[in-house]
Amino acid sequence: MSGMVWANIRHRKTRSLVCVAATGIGIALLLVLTGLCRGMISEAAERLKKTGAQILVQPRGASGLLAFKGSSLPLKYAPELERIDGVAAACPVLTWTTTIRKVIYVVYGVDLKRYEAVGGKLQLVAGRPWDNPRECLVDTRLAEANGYRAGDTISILGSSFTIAGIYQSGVGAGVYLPLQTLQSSLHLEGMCSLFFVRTARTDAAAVQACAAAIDARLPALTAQILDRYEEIMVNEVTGLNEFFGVITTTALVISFLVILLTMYTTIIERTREIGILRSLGATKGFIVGLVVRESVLLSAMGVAAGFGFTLMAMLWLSRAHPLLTMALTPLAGFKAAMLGIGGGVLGALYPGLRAARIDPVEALLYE
Amino acid sequence: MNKGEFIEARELCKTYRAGGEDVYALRDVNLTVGRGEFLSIVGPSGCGKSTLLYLLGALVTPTSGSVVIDGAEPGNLSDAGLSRLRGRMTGFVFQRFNLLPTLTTRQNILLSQRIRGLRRGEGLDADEILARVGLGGKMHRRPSELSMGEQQRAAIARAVVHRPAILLADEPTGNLDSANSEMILGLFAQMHRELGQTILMVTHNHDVAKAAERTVQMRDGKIVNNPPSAVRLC
Ligand SMILES: Nc1ncnc2c1ncn2[C@@H]1O[C@H](COP(=O)(O)OP(=O)(O)O)[C@@H](O)[C@H]1O
Ligand SMILES: [Mg+2]
Repeated sequence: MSGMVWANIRHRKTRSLVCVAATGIGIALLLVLTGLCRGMISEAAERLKKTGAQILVQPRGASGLLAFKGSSLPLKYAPELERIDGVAAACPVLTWTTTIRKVIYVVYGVDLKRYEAVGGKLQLVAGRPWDNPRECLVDTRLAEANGYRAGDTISILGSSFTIAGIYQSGVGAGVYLPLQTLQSSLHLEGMCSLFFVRTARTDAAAVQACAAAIDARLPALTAQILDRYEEIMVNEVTGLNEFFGVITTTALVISFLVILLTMYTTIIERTREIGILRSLGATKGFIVGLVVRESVLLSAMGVAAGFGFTLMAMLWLSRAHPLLTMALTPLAGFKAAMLGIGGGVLGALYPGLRAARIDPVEALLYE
Repeated sequence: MNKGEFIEARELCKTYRAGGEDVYALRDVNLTVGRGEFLSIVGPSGCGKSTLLYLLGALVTPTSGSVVIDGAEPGNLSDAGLSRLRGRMTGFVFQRFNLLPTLTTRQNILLSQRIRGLRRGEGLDADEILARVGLGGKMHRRPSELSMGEQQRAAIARAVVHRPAILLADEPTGNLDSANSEMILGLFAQMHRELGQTILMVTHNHDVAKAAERTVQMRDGKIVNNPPSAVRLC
């Protein structure tokens, strides 16, 4: 019987191809959009975690990505933080963004010594740490994308800086500047955006307790545990979950409608064949099974095509926009596959029931 | 051989709705067919032959009256029971062959075996029956690659592969030239002889009808002779 399903799919090549391609586009849309979104978020979270800090402290009310250009924290909180039980070190960071060749990079203004006291050293692959206020560090991704080497001069926020060193990308920001230089060029003397905190003990319970202590002692601030930052961002960035929901529903609806239309026209076209099968003794269940099997096979091929399209999109993105990160997990792929096939099965039900109701004699005698 | 009542139609009526009113295709038909009998049903086009054949083969259920096939009444069966009756007891041959166009000849036979739920070794072997109808060398061709006579022989192979007790044929030679018609009728005679099948054959051609042991004549939805004697009325 699966031979028959295959024969049908092969026999109507154009129909099958269009159906598979349309389902595939829906699946690829889902995978690429959610993959990009998740990729960017988890990349940001990963960068924060890689600084080596356990806790991120921001003004209360600020959350997620939006706070990244804020600058409303006085530096004087640093010693207060360091007095709290369980806090080993706190490093103030002034964050900003800068655009280099149309790509936005996050800039951290830090005091290198204090930064390294919290997280550890930036891994330099070329050059050295800065030793004067007009020097900066950039990451390998930025350097490679623009062909920069240590010693080159670049323009950041309207002033020129010498690249003292290049560090392995994936940690904190794409550009590090001396804190005071960034403060004065933004006229934000004495201010910062956030504190990275290193806890004395790094087990989950201790970190949790430390964060709670910060929240209790300094009500104007809020402490977030960096291990859970990705989850927090996904849940707090307004509309993100709704956005995922809309794309997921769209992919499901595409798969459903495409299969519904394909199978509906197919059974109308095949009324006579269904009559023949019934005359051979096929039950209604057998006919429904045929329609469902063909739909499942078509949507499975659609899912495979969707994976193919996604791969192509990833290849193209990695060339055209090397800085965009796409996060695709096997789980996301599995969910997309279930969605595509689930939509196909749902789409098969109505045509299947219509097919089962076809009267064998009317199908055979009258066309 | 027991020639008792094998298929029995009582006060059989079938109406179709056409243009908002019920049109009688069959009116008060009574007919008894014995086990192993070769019966032909003749009459002009539109007189209800096909309708009667499909009722006797459990492909349609009557509007009123009843059909009993080997003790079972199709009108009282569930979809599964009806399908089992069709799949196990009957084999249909149509004027337009009705092979599945996407499958090869052999696949058409195999599909018939599968739908009918034949187990290994049950019924006839697909290759053997194809050889018997002279298609041994063409079993991997699709219907569109066969001549009309060959397609009808493939359809017969499909209809008898499970050794059905009843073979029903609706104008089986209607699309064939006389040489092919003769070959098909020869096959029917052979099946009837060798497998002891009950054969019901619809035709509008009196010469073709002569291949049967008994001929029933119809006109306007009624049987107008009830043999043994074959009187030509239409
Ligand atoms: N599905 C149907 N819908 C409407 N009328 C039908 C249908 N099937 C048969 N009929 C009518 O019933 C009558 C008998 O048809 P049929 O059994 O096919 O006759 P025959 O096989 O002798 O040519 C015809 O008048 C035909 O138009
Ligand atoms: Mg007819």
